[in-house]
Amino acid sequence: MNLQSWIVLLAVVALFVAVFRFYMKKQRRNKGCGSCGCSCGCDNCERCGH
Amino acid sequence: MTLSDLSIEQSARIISVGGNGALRQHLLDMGVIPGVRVTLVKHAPMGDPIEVRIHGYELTMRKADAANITIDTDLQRSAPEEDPDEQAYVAALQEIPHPGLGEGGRYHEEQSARLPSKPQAAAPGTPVRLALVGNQNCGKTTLFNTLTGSNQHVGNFPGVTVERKDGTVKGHPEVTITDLPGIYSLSPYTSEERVSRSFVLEQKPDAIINIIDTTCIERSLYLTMQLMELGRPMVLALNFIDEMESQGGAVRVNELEHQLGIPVVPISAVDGEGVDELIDHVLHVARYQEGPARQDFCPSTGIRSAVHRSLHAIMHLIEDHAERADIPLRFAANKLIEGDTLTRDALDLSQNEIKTIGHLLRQMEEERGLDRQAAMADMRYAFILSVTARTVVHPKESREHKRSRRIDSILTGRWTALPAFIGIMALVFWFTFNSVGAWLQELFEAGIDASTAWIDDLLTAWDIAPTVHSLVTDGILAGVGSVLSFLPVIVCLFFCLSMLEDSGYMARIAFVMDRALRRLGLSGRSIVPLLMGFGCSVPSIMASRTLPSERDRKMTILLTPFMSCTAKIPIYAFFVAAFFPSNGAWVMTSMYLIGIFAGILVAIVLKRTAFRGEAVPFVMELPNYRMPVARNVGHLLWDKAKDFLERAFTVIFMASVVIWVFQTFDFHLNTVTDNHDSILAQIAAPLAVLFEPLGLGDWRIVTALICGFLAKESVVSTLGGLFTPETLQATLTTATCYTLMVFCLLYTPCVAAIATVRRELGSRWALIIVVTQCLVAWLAAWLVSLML
Repeated sequence: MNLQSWIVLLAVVALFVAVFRFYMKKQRRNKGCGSCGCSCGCDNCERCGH
Repeated sequence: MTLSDLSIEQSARIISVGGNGALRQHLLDMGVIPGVRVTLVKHAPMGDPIEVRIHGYELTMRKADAANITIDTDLQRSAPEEDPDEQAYVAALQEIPHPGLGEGGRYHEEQSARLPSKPQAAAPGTPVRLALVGNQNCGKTTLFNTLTGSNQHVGNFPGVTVERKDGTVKGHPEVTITDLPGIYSLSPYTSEERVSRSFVLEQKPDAIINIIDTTCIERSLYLTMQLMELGRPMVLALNFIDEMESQGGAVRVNELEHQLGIPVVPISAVDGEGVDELIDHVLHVARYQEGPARQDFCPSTGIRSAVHRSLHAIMHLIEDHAERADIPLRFAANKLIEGDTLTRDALDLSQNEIKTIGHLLRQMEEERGLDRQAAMADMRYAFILSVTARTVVHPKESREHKRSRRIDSILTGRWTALPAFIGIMALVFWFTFNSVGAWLQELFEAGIDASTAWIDDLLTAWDIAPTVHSLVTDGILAGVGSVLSFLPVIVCLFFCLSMLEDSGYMARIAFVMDRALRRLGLSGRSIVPLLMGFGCSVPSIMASRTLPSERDRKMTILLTPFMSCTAKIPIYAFFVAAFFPSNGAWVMTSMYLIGIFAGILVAIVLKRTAFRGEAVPFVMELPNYRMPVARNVGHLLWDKAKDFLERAFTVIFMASVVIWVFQTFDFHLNTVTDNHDSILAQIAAPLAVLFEPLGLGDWRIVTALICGFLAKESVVSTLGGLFTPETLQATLTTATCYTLMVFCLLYTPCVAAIATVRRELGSRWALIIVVTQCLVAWLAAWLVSLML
């Protein structure tokens, strides 16, 4: 593989990791906080706004 | 004679309200009390339910429930007798001016005798928590959005807010405000009402903003009185006052403030008028902890004095219990009289005390001539009417109400309601799939194709290795691009649903369809979550919280996945373009109809097996038609578009990459030349056996279906990656393609919907839904494959 191919591949991998991290963070937020029945204890609950 | 026997436009006076339990309490809370004048407006097109006008607003109820309400059509004869003792008492009631901004208060140096002393006001910058409380559909969320600059969903349908939402007030970073679901009283009737009640009672906000719909002020003040009984600092916000004043109505605000003993601020939540003044007042009462100046509403003389005596006797009796349970005393006594079991259990009374309260209440009932719940509601409404008689000038009829009546003569008319409903729904689908939506989609597709071609050319020019090139074009661009092109259609459908809801028509659909849905074991209110299911299952499952019974909620949630959501549109469109190019509209429509038909069959089975019994009573307020506010509609569309784009660039992107890897390599990570050797084929092949009877025993189809569990759009992106148009045509026939479409329509909802079901009903029900939907989908697809 030439250098350009490695750059494109690395860019795709980096993008995948960034999207995965963003998605997992959002999923944790979506779970909810202690005040709406979930016990994850986050402080930015999208379910009830707590 | 009962209310169900009344003729259209005939008026009568209520003599007694029969029935029992939560429904009766709810009717009393809504102002259906002895002595009140009621007018029958109309019957629903199928004869049931009925719409009545009471206290200047429209209420719907079923005929069976109306049959429990005894009436007298002779309005003169049944008019309540004037009680000179009570009138003299009310006239002598001292006005209790509430301290204005900068005047005496609890924390002030010049202490008021009626309030316990505190050294000083809370320091500026101290965190303040506010609660926004009011009836359903009175503008709470609009005010919340105005105060916080947030873009929460607003609709002209009772019960849009089903969860509490927090926000920070603009310009006051230390002030948090919580938007609570709408309630009519503090006697919890639905689960969302319980959310509001427990927040106010347990979280103890520093102050309450009680927003009311001024056009039906009497009913709205009923909740105000109960909030005042809690003793928390509060401000009354008179919303829609502009609507009232435009037709010659008026509220003497200062006088109303003096009568109630709390600050009263007229506002227009939509325009933001009066909102700054409201915030100034509420921060003042919160920082100085100024509670309501009046909490006693029962006259000590006249026919209602029996209520006064028994209420105060009970207050003395339970004083220590209320203090221990940390429940406001007067509120606790009121709820005990109304038979509120939550309060009774919390007070932990002894047997002697319970017996004593029973004797006191029997004595009160005997003297007053009304049962305890009716006597309490009557006492509150008597106070409200005496206050509004002095402070409110009612308009003849508001322009909005006149307009609503004219529109309703067609949209809920006996012969026109059903054709209008079908016509409007047909218009929605035409707008979304055939005209504007389809045109925008073509435009979008052209843009995506051009971008894909440009990137493809660029990669070729850079001489990128074939595997990496394939990852970008066949994996990412094909996967994300195929899903992205459906954004316009989805936005169009949500636009239509939001117009129906904001205009107030959604509430009419519930009224019109109640009788038909009752045959399926549901109430008319279920139609709203079900219709929202055509947009997305997640908000629709959450919207089922507005249903007052657990049985109806469960049943509605179980049926929601049968309504074909927008995420399935890409699947249909993909197959229609490949196999039914000339009959696209018919095939698409048939998908929706099959979904509805399957839902009806399942509902009938559920009604006769797991969910025997009757649907909950249909008691609902019909709001006036209002012009949808462009800002609200815009916010909703932006939210939905954002959500869709986020899904396309997260779930679909990741799924596309993973699937590309699985289909390009074998287990030894060698690039495969034949797809049959790929990891994906090895995993999906064993499951393909299950789909043999349907004619769909191809591992690529099974893979696409598995990916669809993550997000329905993934079915298309996966098929796009695994098939070329030629191989797809070679693998499927029109018959097997239709069978696959039916399977996709009915099989398990996506992960997000299942997670929402789990949150609402628990893991067991989530699992039941996954299994049931897959079974129903397989059976339906099998039947279709036999027929075609």
